[in-house]
Amino acid sequence: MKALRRRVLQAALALCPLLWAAAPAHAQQDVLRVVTDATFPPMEFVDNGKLTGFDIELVEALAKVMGKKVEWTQIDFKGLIPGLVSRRYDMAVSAIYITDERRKVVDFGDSYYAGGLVTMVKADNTAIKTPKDLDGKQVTVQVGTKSVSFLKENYPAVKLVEVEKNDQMFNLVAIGRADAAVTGLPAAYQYVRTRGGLRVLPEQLTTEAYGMAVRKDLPEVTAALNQALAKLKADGTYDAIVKKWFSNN
Amino acid sequence: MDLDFSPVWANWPDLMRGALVTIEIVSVSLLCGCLIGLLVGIGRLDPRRRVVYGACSAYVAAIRGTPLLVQLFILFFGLPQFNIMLPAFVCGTIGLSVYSGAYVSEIVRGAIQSIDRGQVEAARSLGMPARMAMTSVVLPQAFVRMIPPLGNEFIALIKNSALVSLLTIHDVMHEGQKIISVSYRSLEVYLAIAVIYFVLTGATTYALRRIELRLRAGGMVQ
Repeated sequence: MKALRRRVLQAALALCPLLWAAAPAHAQQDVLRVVTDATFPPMEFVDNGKLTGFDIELVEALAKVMGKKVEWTQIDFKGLIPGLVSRRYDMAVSAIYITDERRKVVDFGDSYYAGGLVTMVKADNTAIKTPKDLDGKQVTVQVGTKSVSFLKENYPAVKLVEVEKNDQMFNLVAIGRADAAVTGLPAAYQYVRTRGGLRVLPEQLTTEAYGMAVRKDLPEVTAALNQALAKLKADGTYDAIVKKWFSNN
Repeated sequence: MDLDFSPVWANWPDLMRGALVTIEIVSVSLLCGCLIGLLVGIGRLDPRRRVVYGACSAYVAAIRGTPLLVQLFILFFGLPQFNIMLPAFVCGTIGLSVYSGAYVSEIVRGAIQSIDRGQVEAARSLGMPARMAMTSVVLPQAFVRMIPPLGNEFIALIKNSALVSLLTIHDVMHEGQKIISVSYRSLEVYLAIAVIYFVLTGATTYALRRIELRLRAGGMVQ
């Protein structure tokens, strides 16, 4: 028993350095520790083992201007804000809407993009040019989503076709059983980018501001972030990234 | 029925890497949990030693009485607010070990108390000190009786380990969720994850069964 105990202890001790080696590099001035929930294409996702997406590329470009290196950590969406409050990370970028509730615990940089509900039609559809043209048309939506209540309230003349899943919705429009689909902006452009055949109308039904959340005790990071964003918007880098992820071509 | 397992095969190396992380974190936690359980279980044998008994009982009550998710959350997001910043892997291991230790301690206590009092009395009357009677006579016999309930506990630990994906640890569950987010093949990916957990728990059950048979053949039970 004694020998066994000693061996167990030795094994435990031998494992200790392994544990500490797994520790993330400690806070450095030139490192920006960013968390994201990489399960939301095309905003942030893992493709062939590599973190990619609109948010990822934008943050990398911003950090370059700020002269910092990004250290990415992937976390569940509900861990994003707690990760900042606990000071484990400096910034959370994960298609987060700016809300007053969140503002109480974190700071937000200037909104870097507007999400919200958009309309999708077949790429060659010329009858529907703006959301107003939806009146009297068959519009497919996913049950239980915000699209349903929004259309009922604001576009009562629309004939709703409710389906269970996102891909059924796209499918109905693609085969012509529905005239249009109403869904969130990221999902819409993700479909257009990866499958094609549909296009997103330029006029959005609703807009909601995406913001990068920063720890409250790092106001200098928020300020630097806003400056860097303004610079990227001025020099065309921002437009190029937007075009890459959110366009009909 | 429209099942397409191609995302699972395409991302098989990621799932295997995740499974390896699950195995790592479970093995370390299992070892530490057993150690904690052994000490706490022995600490709860004698209510007359008030301080030890009280402390051990409070530990078991607090850990068994609160959700593991909350304990992990406190370790990972709570402690940093008191300037204790442990790496994710350490938080996960401590969380699972401490949680498992509480359950193991009851298994240990139950097994020890199930050993006939005559065994201790015989050992003591042969002149063995109390500690020796415990380590050389009672514990070896109790150990064989612990194996079936320990098997239960180890299996629970393996499956509970899926919760550490919340702490940025890329275990098999976390890898699976990443695959689902790009392929939208949730049923297929979750089925693959279920098979991986089944293999892990199956291997544990098999190993414990072998140990138990061996100990019984070695005559470590009346």
